[in-house]
Amino acid sequence: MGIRLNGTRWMIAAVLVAGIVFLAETLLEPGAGASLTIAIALFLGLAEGAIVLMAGAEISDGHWHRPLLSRAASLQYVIPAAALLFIANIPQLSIYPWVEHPSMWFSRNFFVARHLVLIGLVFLVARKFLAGALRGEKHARFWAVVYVILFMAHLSMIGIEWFMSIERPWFSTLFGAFVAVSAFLTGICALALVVFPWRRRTDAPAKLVQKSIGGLIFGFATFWAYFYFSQLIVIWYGNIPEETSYLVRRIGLHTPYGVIARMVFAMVWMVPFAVLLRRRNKAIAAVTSGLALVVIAGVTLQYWLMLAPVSPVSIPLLLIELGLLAFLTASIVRSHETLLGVTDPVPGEGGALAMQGH
Amino acid sequence: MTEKFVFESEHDFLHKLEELVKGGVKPKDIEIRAPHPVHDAEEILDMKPSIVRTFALVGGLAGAATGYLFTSLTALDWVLPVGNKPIVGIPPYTVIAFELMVLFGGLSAFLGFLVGSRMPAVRTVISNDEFVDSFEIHVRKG
Amino acid sequence: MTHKTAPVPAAAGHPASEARLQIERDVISAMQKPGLAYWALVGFCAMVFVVCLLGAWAWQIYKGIGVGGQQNPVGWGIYIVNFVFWVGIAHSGTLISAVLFLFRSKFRASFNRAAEAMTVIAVMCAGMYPLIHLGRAWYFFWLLPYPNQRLLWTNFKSPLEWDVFAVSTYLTISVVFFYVGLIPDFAIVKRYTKGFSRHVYSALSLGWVGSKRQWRNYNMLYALLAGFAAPLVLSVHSVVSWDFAMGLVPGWHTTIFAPYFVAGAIFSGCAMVLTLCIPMRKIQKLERVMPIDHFEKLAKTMLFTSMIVGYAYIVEFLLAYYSGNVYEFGIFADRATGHYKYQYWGMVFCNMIVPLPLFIKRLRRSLAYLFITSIFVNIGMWLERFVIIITSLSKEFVPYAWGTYRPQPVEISITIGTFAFFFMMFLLFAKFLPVVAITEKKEEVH
Repeated sequence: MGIRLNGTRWMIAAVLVAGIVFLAETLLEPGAGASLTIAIALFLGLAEGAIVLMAGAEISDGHWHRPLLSRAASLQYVIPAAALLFIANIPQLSIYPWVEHPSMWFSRNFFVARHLVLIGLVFLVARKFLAGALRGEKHARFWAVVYVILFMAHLSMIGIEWFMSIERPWFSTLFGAFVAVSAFLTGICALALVVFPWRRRTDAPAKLVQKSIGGLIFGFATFWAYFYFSQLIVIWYGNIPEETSYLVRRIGLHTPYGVIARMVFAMVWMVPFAVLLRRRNKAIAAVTSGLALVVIAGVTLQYWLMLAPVSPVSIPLLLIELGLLAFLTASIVRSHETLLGVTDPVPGEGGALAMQGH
Repeated sequence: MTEKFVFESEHDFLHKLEELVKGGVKPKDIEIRAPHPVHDAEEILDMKPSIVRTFALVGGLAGAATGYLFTSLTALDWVLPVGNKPIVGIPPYTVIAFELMVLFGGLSAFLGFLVGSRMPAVRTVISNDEFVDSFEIHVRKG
Repeated sequence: MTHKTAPVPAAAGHPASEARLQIERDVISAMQKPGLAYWALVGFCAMVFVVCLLGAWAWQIYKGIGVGGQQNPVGWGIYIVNFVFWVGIAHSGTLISAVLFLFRSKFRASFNRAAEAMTVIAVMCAGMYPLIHLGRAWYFFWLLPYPNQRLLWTNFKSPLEWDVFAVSTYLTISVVFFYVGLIPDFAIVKRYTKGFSRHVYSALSLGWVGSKRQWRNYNMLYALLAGFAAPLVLSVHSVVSWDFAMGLVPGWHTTIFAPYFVAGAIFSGCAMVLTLCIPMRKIQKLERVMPIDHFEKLAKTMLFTSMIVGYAYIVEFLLAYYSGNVYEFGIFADRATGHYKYQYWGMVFCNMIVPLPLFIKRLRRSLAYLFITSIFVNIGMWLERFVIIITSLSKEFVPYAWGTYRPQPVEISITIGTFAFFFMMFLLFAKFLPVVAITEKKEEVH
């Protein structure tokens, strides 16, 4: 899927996507603005999550990720596209209750400014790290560490400010970390999809990548469930109305959302856990990429569930946006060689990546 | 009547093992000694899946079931509402069920290990058989 | 090829075989008969344990729990602080043996035995504290669900009851894990010993010879136990954190507690592994089997968990501000400026600031520096639990009922006593059991 992109075409494509989405949002469905927030958060988190996995592998001296690196690295181009969409999303910020009563921290302008600066910073650090890592340079480690810290801060901010603040003053201290873990999980799943075309390769590096990703989906889906449970049980046990109201609106079976909340839990944890419990399944590309789609859909629903009970979300618009972004992301990964100026190693050699001089 | 080969390096040992198996010796007639786990040897000998997995699975499921049933049934046996919580509360009982799953699963996996590897092997304990630092292949003949 | 058809033991000569035997000798020679100084140290620890812990506990039982400083409103004093501290220390053992096993990290082989021993001993230390804290310790069996004449069962919805299950499961599984890892090593030690001890090690090895069936099942068991222990380690400290978070006390009732406690536990556990292994490496001459590279990796793990703990400190504070709730923010502001501000800033300094220089590679590779850092972290993590437990209780809801807490001599004495017990047990471990997993080290030889 996707089209061939180079530097210029990528920019045109990103502006085009942002333009279409902006027009659709403002002209077709005025006032139904939460959908774009969901789409941006999903794809931004997915790209940053995939890169943070590379950073983690780099820091811990892993070698299994090397054959994947250039494809994962191309995902950095999703970040500026998300920034453009974030700008297109500015008219929709009125979904947040604090827009009416701005405070020092929560005012529309400052919100936009700080998130743009943060996204820019993440992009720059990701570039630094990935460029170094692709060349196999030592200092890539340093940028990997900076990137990991920045990822945690950024995704926590997204969790707290894009999702949690819709119900301000309700708060949960785990919320930011929970969204960060969800994003990381979607990043792993995105990589499972990226390596799907390798399903027929039988060389050791490709098999190792496949197995590692299968294992990571299993492990981090379970980790996600642990965060889910940790947040749930404290609020359930405390049973204070000002805390439970948030959950009751979202998982109470008397609401239309209750069933979906259970679906989220099943899609993100139960299904991958049950399937991957059989060790052999971890190495089958069709299984892991199928599960990856289920998990990504589950996390999308989870983001939707965070906003939808308060602000109406236009489902057709959401689907269009998700489709456009998926197409853009797929095109970016497909064109990773031209975008990054690297050539892939011959299948089977999968070690160092040769740089092309530009 | 057994024939015995002794090696000092893993490489030579695996080489000979492969040679024997390819030469038509049945894996069940081959016994080995290794000073550390050798995963390739397991592959060459094409061993059956270990029964430890089954033990762990059954133990774990039994533990989880015990965790949910024991807590729920004792709570229903004499209904005692505490702290405005439901009599049978799934979230808190999940904690107990999880702990018991790990406990039963871990212990029964250990039991499976003892059964599967015929341990404790009293005869070896009493005798002078030793766990030596070399790779050995014992081939049963006839 | 060097195969012989006669049952001749492998003669030393091949480099791989030589390297393997060297590992054996290095580890076994650490188990040689301890000298007088060593026994004196063990004896000193034993004496401190008996006098400070058993003596003070006996005094507390004789006089009543009131000899401690626990009073309204602070009903949970440093006994509970110590409980959480020791459970936390235990965690890195399971982290190193189980989680790093699943991630296939090589450096675990240097530390896993010592860390697992530490886990078992630390859980024992932790387990004492709820009993000491009970006052009438002989009624502890009321915590256990057993059929009784009153036809009553324990309240399984109580986090304290979860603790009973979590900690006892943890102790059991840790012991099994520790023992399973030791089985092949016992068989090696058997080869090096004579007389009575040979029989003991032989029996403990359960007749291990390293046959195909044994290794096959052993590998499977080890992987499965790692698979069980990895989520267990998350659950145990989460349950401990929920002892607090399930209550409505401000400063306790917060959702981030479970992962935050787990990260803190691993952080303090890594520090304790460093505190124990750096001197042990020197005293027992284990330089060859415990390379500096592996210490560096452990230091990185410690630094990483330090950052997670720092994240939790910052998030808690910022979200208290975010909530716009004066009471919520008040409790956090009080921690930083109130009666216990020195403990609070001590905690921030030890846990967030002191580990930061570990970003410098040269410091990560300096054992002396690591040792000093690890001591600071141990202190910092003890203070963290003190700050969480004591400050929250001392300023609960009604200002009229506020009060402060100061640990009394009996409590301090018991605290010192457990440290003595811990070091005594570890010293005994280091002489009677192989301190490094021999077969796993051999696996690295090629």
